[in-house]
Amino acid sequence: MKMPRIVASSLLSLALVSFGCDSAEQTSNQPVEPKSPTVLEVDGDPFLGKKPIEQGALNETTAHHNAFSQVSLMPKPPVEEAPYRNRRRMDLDQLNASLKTVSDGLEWAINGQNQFEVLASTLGKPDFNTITSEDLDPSAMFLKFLNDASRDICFQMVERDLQRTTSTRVLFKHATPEMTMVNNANAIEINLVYLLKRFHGMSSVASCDDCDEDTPNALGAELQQWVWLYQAAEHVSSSPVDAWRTVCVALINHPDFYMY
Amino acid sequence: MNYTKLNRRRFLQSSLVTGAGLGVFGGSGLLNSLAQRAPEVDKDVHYVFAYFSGGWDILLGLDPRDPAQFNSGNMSQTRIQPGYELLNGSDGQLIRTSSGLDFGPYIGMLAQHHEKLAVVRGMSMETLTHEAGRRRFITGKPPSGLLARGSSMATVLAAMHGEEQPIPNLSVRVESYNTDQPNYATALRTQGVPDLIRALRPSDPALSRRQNVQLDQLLSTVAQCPTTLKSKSLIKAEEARKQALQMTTTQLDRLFDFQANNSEMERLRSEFAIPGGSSGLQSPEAQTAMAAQAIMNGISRTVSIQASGGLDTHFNDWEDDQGPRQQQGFDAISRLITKLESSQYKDTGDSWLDHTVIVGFSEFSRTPMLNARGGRDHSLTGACFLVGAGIQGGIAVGASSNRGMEPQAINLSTGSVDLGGEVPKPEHVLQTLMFNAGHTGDEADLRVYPIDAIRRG
Repeated sequence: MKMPRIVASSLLSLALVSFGCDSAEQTSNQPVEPKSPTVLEVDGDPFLGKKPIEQGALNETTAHHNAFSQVSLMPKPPVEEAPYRNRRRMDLDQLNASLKTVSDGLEWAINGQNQFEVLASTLGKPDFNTITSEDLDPSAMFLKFLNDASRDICFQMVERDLQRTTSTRVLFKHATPEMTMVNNANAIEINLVYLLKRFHGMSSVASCDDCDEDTPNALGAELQQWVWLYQAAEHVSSSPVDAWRTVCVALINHPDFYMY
Repeated sequence: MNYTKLNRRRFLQSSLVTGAGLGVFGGSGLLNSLAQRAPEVDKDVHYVFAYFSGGWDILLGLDPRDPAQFNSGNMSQTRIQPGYELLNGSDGQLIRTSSGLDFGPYIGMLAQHHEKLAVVRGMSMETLTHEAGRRRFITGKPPSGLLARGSSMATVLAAMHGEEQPIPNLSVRVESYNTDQPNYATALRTQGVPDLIRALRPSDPALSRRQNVQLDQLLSTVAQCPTTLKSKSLIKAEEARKQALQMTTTQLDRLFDFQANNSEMERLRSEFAIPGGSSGLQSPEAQTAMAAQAIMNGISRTVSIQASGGLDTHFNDWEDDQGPRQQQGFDAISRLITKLESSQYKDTGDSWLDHTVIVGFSEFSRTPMLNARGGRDHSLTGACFLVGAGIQGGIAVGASSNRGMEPQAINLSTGSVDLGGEVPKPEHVLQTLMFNAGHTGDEADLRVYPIDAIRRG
């Protein structure tokens, strides 16, 4: 019996949630107890004349004013976290160049006018008259126009690829527009691996040089999200071409593309 | 109400005393009781910040001088040269109003609203640099060099009023900063109404609705990953993405498409005198219409616009351009006031102007003496005007001096010149807005008291 589309979509959504993040990174629901500050016990009290504190000991952690009070001189240490570098957003020139690179020369243009140039001042590019430094906030305005750009570029890419021979295609490099999850899931996944490397520089998943029949089993949660997206998009549109368009738009709107 | 001068030392002293007091009286318990007694925030107030870019000549608008008293015969003593007789396209007459407010020859239609206007004169902008003056007024804090310090007042006010609106803080051709406020209060910045319309339209070419939902699901899931949650910029990006998505799904662009061929837009074009042609949507008139639409349709809490530009007239363009450009901005603001005043606020019997404050400002003014090239250079003396909710109308507080138009200290309670008072600065004006909104604890870290003289009631 054929599964109704809405039920299948819901199941696909559940699947996305289940492998949304790398399992190693899942946040525990258990509250993390902050570590208590280390208290260096100092015997004796200088004011009581029992035992003098050595030079510098006060600077370390605690002091006893008398037998009944103890004051910590050190703040509580922060909860230790793995080092993490905050991301930076690409500036408009970088973004324009990146889009050209990943799309093999396409740019976001309307009537021959590059739209990043048309929208430069709205997107915070300095004019060196009133603005001297570029606004690199990932603002709502930036993300709206990035979305516009991604659709324009991806639709162009698909149209161009459909005209090109297999060897010169960019989006359909390892999977032809006729292949589906049903008839060639492996090729779809290999193509996704290739696109993740092309758009996001994802080298943590197997590169295409390593692609073989066992590749899907070796791929992490990162790839599974994209498999889910492709599968879901193909399911609702019944068109691999539409599904690849959706994947392409998502790749550009993903922070791994426009932030570094 | 009399205030003692609040300088940094006194501020720190009072903080220490307060801190000690809190320690004695139970810390958070007292804080809670103070918070409970704090005035309710007036959620119904909206804000329009109208920036006159380039440094306006206040002799032509907000702070005039009578040529009968200040002229070439005595300008070596007064160091003030109104130069009204040199203006091209104006009779150079002062505009005198029944409320006692006098204006320069280019105040335009704004003078019609004199009974509602509060003008602050003799302000000190403490800079002769465009960026520094502009950022000083926007944030209420002296910049560090050219670098703005703190968040824009528009951002602070948007944050304090919550995130009910789809675009709480909208800014057209005006800088905006958010260093310490929630992300939703960050201004949606655009260089003109056309870009705003474009930003509010759904992305094109379109994917199917279900594919858009899937796209959103994937990006939302990514945003919940621990690596994302560790990064402030990634969290910010996700919130901005959601805001962008919300903006485009509610067809807000139709409210700002002033060149559309329908009766509502035709009426707005007429009410705001929006010029035709491709540049019409970039005009001050279109920006004020946008402000009215954004506020009256519940889209924004604060709107910043550039009411006028090109005022940096160091050369003989002063004779031709300074006045008309200022007047274009004043006229546009006047139409905005008329629109807000004539529109009923949510079936309450109040007008929208009763729930909106408009602040007109520039980065500084221009020298009271013409330079050798027939223009005026930068002067650190400033002025601004306010109108609307909680603002006492028909009043001018402070005064620039009659020799060289220098800033002068005023009594903040009466608004009259008082050598023992404080020189009004942008932060006093912004603190007035904060107090009027019920925020009396210096939440914006302005470290000054408000100008009570322009507060109504």
